[in-house]
Amino acid sequence: MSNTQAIETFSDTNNLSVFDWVDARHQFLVGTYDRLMVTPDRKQISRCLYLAHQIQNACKHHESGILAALQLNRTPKHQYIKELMAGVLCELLGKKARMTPSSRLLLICASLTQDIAMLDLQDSKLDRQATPLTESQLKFIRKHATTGRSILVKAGVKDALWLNAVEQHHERLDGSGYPNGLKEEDISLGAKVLAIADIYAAMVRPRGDRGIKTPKYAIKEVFLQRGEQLDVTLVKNLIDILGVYPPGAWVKLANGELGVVSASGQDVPFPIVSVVLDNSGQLLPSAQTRDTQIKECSVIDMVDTPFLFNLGAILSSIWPTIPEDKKHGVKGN
Amino acid sequence: MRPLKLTPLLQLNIRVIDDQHQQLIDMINQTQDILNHQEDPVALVQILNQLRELTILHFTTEELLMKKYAYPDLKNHKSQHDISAQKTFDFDGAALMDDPSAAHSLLSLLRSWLLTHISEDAEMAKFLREKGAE
Repeated sequence: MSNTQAIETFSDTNNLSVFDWVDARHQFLVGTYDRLMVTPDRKQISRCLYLAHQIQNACKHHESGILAALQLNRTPKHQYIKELMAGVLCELLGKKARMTPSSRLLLICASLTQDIAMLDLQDSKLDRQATPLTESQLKFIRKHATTGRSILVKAGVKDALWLNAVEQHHERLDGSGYPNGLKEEDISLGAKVLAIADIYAAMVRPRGDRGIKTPKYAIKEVFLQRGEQLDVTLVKNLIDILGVYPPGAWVKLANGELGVVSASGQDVPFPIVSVVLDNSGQLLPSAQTRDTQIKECSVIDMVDTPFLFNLGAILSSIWPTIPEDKKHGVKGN
Repeated sequence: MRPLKLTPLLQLNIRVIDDQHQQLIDMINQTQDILNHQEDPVALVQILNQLRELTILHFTTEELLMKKYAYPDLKNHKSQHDISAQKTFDFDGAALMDDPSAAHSLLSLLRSWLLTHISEDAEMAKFLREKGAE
């Protein structure tokens, strides 16, 4: 490649922090939902596929950074972060379950559109409602999987994997799920994967009637549902992907330092942590990497996000940036 | 107290399960050692983190084998697993650093985890071996 070509290629690319990358995908998803509600047609379906493709590509080299940003991006503007996080988890779980790239693409689409029939309710009510769900809301929710499938069919989706995953993502192995009370052998693999991704992602995001749960709590709860409700191998795979301390979790180390898990310890209980606050609670000038296998850097426990205003820059520097094509990158809505 | 050993009485003769039980026994002995020699409690935190990982691996390994060979008491066995898993997840790691009694609680957690579990496992292992598991 000549120097001129190299410069042109470089100038056509933006490098986004993992947080900005997630924000841009979120904005694009919001725009897609707005359009789908007005005119459910092929154009909006193409937008879902396009977004799914970007998620799949970015997961190849930026798995930990994206998972961390999805865990840490928690402002009220991130109302559909659950769908994005579940999409990323579907890609990673699908890969472990040896699904083909094209099947995984459809599964990510299913994740992005799983609640398409109750966006209105989520948007205007559930996220702000501090009281438990009413009888009529519950009835509506129990129908959303079937209605969601119908909306997607109307919009032109023909792929069985996508449609079945949306319709069956609340079915449970013991037949206790909805809408049809299907049992293990009758639930598609895509729906089993999506169910696990959705339950985990839903627990680590705040909702009106309940607070945010820590990743440790969410992992425990998903683990306890294995067997009766969720597929044992897929649950084990989720914990293998995330680790007991998932990327983006705030942790305290034995030496008193506070940091964020930057990469899970694959198959070992020792994640890599980027320390952000020293042992007296002072913000460090730059994040310092700690190997938690070393005794004094052992992870003691997860902690709540520290209340500091200026964490953005230091957190952004922890994970490599993601190159984004200026011409073909996501351009909001 | 003498170190624990995976004696023939405790062995179930299904290799993958015995190997994981051995890891648990090693953790019990390490914890006992740390207590005997009043070593740095950070080592206990490392053991707790390893125990959480082993709990997930071991219980899923057994449950997949039980399912594969259609073990009739899978549901009950799983609910015993859940009790130990819940205690392991809920154990307060931070307390190990500044409360000496927490170290003893960790040791009893490990011991009860092993003893209740291995006795439950004996019947399961007999069934699995008869079905051809090794």
